[in-house]
Amino acid sequence: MSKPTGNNQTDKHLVERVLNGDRDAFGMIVCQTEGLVAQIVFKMVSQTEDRKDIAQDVYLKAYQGLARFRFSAKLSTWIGQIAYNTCLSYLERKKLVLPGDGQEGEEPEETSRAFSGGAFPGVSHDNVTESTLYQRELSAILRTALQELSPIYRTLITLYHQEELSYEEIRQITGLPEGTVKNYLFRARRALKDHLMDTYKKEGL
Amino acid sequence: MRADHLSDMELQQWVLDPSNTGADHRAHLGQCEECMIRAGEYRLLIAQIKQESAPVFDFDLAGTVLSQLPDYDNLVEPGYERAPLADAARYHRPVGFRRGTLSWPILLVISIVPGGLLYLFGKEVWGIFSGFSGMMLWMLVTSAALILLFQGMEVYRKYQRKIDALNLY
Repeated sequence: MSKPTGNNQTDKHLVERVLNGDRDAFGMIVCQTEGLVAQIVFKMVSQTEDRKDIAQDVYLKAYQGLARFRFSAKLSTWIGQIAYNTCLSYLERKKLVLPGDGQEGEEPEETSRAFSGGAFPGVSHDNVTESTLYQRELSAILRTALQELSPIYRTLITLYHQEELSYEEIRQITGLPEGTVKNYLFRARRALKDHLMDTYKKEGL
Repeated sequence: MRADHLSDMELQQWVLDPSNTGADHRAHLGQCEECMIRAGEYRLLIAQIKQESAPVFDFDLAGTVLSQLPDYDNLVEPGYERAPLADAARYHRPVGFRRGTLSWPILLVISIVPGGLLYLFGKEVWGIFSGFSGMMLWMLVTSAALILLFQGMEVYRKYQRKIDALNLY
């Protein structure tokens, strides 16, 4: 996974080159940030055929708006914000599931209590990973669980746990208040964990 | 030590940042097998998420984007000037056009149309309301004004949301 740019001086230098007409510099920006953009686009947009157009749209918008970038955040965060907003507009246009819909109003329930006898009674965590839940199966279950989450929850989980962005960076990208980001992350993790344990129980993995 | 089990929120916090967990939570976790199992489930989940492979575009994104880029100078519309690069707040600034300029002609048109209609048909309009008592008339006017106010606020809120979504720092 290519980690996005983080150095403000590098950002300034690259932006300056692009604004002076150096297209290759913009190519470098694309290469440095496409990992983050891919994470956002893939998590927000399920339609494979639309992802290509959206990704291109993101960078065309970034190119057109580059002169307005004020370096109050990292360039990668700014491009991430454009990607997020572009995907959000796409979802709104297509009238697809919107952020947190459905799950947003739910009261936190102690659903894990269903497994309060222990999902793996008498079995330690290490034993579970090594002998019962095979890595591939676990990965497949997780992917299914992620697909069942709303696009926003999916994106937040990815940005926090895979891209390892801070709450502040996620706030800048999504425009959601930090408290909401934390709350959504908590709900998403709980839903994923419940799905994982539920599948374990059903399939007797 | 806490007697009741830790909530999911507390367990997640402990898994993500054990150093920030209170002593009573730690003491409980040290003795409660159930909470340890539930925390283990979260640990397993988070480790699995981290291991998931990152998605990649199946085409040359940089090449495709670069082939579509217009010349930068062509992007600067006539009437726009670019702030000097040294200026941190660089952005295209319209020359001779300030934000909100367009709203005045719109407001003018909005005021002229009803004003004109009132001028032309004022007597007929007054005739409709002349039969109403003073209190009824004021209630009607107040209700209409409140509805218009709330609708206007809703439109403004939607507008602000759209603008916020376009905020590019």
